[in-house]
Amino acid sequence: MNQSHRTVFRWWWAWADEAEERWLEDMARQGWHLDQIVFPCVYRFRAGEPRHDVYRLDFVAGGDRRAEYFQLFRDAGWQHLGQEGGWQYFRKTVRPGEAAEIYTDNASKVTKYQRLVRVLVIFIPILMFNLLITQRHGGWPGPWIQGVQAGVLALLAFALVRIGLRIRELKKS
Amino acid sequence: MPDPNLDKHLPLSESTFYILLSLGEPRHGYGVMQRVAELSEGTVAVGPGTLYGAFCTLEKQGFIRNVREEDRRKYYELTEAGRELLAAQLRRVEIMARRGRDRLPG
Repeated sequence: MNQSHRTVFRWWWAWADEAEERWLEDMARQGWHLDQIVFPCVYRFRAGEPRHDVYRLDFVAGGDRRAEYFQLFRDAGWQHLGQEGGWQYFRKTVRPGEAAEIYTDNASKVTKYQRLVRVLVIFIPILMFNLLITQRHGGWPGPWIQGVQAGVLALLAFALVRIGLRIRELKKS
Repeated sequence: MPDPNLDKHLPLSESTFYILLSLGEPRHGYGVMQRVAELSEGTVAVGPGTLYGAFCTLEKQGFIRNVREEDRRKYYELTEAGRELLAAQLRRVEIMARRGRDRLPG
């Protein structure tokens, strides 16, 4: 069957963003090129010739210097494909074997994860406050909602630990 | 008299050294990337993520300043503090180079 487009759902973890880049690059080598990020974790691919593209994800949330940021990436040959939850998706077409990086040293790569941590920690007091409120009011579906909230909080804490470990690993090497 | 406050910024990473060095005259981001490759004879490449972060940090620290903006491209230039920082780094590198040459046979 000849398809021109394909939509794929793929869950990924923020501390494993490099695995996500590899996956997008593998898709491009098979002739599936990222066209659109429909929702977080939902990608739309377009069929085409297999290419040795480099995919990179950056994390930038807000800021008044966006125009300068995107212009700089554009000038350096990176195509901005979309963003989802602060994650910026970039692609660059290179010759086979040619390297291309958006972060050329570990010190600056660390700042990407530090920005992510700064955004994630904001959610901790919000989630804890919510948990407290639902606990006060009790009744159905209180326990169920509390369970979900506690789960999200635990996941967030786990994510922060994993990202912290990633930062430490980068600082060491 | 060298400013002792500069010491906490030293030694500069290779990227930071060449980014500062390329800003002796006003340049925008991509201009800096090209100039760094040229000045370092291809030994140092600076990606846009790294450079964007460096611009933000160096501007905040007062070592570079934004001089103008054209078509969404900001042009930066070295400040006096930036020049002093480069000179301080250069003194360190010169000692390394001199000692290295003295002690390495051949």
